[in-house]
Amino acid sequence: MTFYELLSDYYDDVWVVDTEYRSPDGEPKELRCLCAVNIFTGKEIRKWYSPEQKCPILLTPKTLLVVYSAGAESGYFFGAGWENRQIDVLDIRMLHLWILNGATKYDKMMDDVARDTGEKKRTKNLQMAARMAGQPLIEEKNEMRSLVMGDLRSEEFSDHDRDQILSYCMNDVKTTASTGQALWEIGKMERDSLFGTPLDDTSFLLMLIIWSKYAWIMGIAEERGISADFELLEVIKQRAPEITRALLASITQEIPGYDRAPYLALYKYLAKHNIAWLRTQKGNLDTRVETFRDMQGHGEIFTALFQYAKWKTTVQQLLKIAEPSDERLRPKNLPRSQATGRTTTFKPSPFGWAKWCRSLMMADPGRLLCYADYSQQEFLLQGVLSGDENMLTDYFKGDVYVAFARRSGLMPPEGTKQSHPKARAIAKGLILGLAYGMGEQSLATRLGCSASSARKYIALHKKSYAAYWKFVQSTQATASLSCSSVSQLGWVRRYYNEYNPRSAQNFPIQAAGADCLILATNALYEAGYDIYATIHDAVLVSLDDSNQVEDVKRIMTESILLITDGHRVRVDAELFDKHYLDQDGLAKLQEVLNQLNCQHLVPEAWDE
Amino acid sequence: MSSKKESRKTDIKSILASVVIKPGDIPKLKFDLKRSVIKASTTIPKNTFFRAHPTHEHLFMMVPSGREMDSRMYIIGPGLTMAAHLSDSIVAVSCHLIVFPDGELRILERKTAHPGEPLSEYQQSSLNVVEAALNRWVMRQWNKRSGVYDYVEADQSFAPDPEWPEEDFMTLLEKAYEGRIIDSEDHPIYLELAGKKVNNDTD
Repeated sequence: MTFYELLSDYYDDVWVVDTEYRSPDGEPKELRCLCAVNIFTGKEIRKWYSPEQKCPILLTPKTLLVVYSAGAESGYFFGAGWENRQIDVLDIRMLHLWILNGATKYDKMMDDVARDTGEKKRTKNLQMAARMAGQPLIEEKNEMRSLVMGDLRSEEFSDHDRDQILSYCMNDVKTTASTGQALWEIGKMERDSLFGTPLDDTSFLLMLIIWSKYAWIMGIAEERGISADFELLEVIKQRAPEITRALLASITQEIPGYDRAPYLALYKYLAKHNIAWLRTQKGNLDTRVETFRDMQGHGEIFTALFQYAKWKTTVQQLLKIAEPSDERLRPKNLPRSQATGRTTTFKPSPFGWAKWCRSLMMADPGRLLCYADYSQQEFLLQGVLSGDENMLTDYFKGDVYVAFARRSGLMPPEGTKQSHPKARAIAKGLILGLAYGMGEQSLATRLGCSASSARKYIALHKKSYAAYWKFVQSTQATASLSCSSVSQLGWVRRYYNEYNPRSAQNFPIQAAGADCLILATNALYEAGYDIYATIHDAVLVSLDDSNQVEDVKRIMTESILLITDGHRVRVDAELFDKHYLDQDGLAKLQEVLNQLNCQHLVPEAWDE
Repeated sequence: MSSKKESRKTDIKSILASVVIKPGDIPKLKFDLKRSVIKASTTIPKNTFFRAHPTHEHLFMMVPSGREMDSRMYIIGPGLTMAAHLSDSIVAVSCHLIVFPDGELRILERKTAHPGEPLSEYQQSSLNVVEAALNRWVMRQWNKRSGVYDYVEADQSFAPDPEWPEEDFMTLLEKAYEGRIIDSEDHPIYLELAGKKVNNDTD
């Protein structure tokens, strides 16, 4: 059965769609045109955009849109006012990413395409997918892109330009259609070569549709944007140099010349005081923020260096934020772009900023911003995937760190977070560190203890959760021999040239986490909630009122019961009526604004 | 296929529960090997009944050793299959776990058809025997006249269903193919096939 024959079992209409738009830095999309072909009837649509236009495709629950990059196309549909929460989407890019994840055998082909198309590096785009599918390269791609991106409003294009852009768009539609069919066949071969995993056509199709819907929703989130306090941003941007100078002055007293030639000054200082510092492969001083963080314990000056490095990074991020006319942040999302299947967010990525800067985000007027996250989800997933009863029991006791500390004897059975904070901190560091495959040495650094103590703590964990450790062993062994790991929702990581036991150990948990977030986001969106962002194990949604919080929590728990094998994961939620406030970042925000004598700008928490 | 007709299409989302892979079904190895005797064999055993494991089957790329005294096949890791010097000798081999009535385990190697080519009658018949053994105790028989395998089924009272080992398939494979998994370019067989000098210390 061919790809499109399979689709005909489930859909009345399958439209392959492509759109053209201009996407100025941080601004909403300027829409140009839409082209589509109905795979079953052969009907073609070519529509230049106009504001009063209705959606030229009849969108019903039995319509499937096939696109390359759902995140881009959904922005067009949202911008044109054609949002429909119930439609299904199939993003060929999701299939493309699935085939490529860790499959180094395609590297050379990607390099060739990058060279032929003038790209600086391997790019996972329609050109590349088309080449994999044996299609010719679209010659006029760059020329046409610059025409589409031209600084003209939609109505200002000449008839000739419009014709050219529409033809180019239709060409992409046809390339997408044939590429989809070919990639499906390649995907089929890749599925057949997986070890012991039942990924039949129908299952895989549904998985693709689920991932694609998520990509579609994230495209809408990007286009909608998050309301932000640009007045506060402007103050910080303008006056950040004052704080930078103050921080530098304190460092320069101890390390002369740090304000003019920081690298050289640090180099001399370390040599003079005979202090060891992490080096790069080339032998230079490693000046990543993490290195400054790790050196903090060596004295006050190193704490100051860390503060300065962190501040500088943050300010650089803030300076890069575009200032769109509608004062909204538009983070770009690339679903399934990480090897684990998680989403990458960038330019800007508010949840990648220092915590105090996240308060730039705001709720829309008259609405509430809700940050809902799964509580200790990775621990639960470890228990579910390994079938470790002790882990599951400890999860449902509430605080897993206390439960583990009691079970392992780090604290007495009646111990609590308040009575034994140190034991809980060790338990927390241990559980989080071991989940990422940390060894004795790095755990010792993290926990601030000796390597032999770290070894003892690891032994306690292994004794407490023996079934989990068997699972880790078997996961690594399976990955090393079959060169692949697979998640419950079918995401596959291949280890063709770069098997790493830590990645293999971590993959099932991270991939299950990604699967959960995809299912939860889709369910929330289909239930009518506006998704603003997804963050690791959390979603940022907009609510009409606080009564909806419980519904959001319920949907997040129930939508992933298939992944958690029926176990109900806890969900925490916070609400904000104006600024988003991160409790851990609030003190720093106050400190920054105090330094600038702008106390009046400190956001207030919502007190319902 | 026309959209004009009233829709009677299945709702693909209704099958979600059956699609999500259950944690226990994610392929993984289990340790604590109990049975250690396991070997690989290229022919379907004759004169004895056997059963084939319902899921423990996997396709591997293999190469013959090229050594005069060693006619065994070597599993070659996916990252190494693109090597030009192996391209002529690589074959896809299906490895299937089978068990005999006395509990002895064996990995049955079956060469598969070349991509895009139909199975030969002989290959199809060997596949039929293994498929029959998924659910019943069967014994293969060679049909000289037609040049294909036949099989006979054991009576239901012959033996109960086999007790399969708890160990995962990959563990059993590692055991059966000990030293015969080419997982790096330093593997002696890989070097020999490439016409390179082999460091005998590692052989």
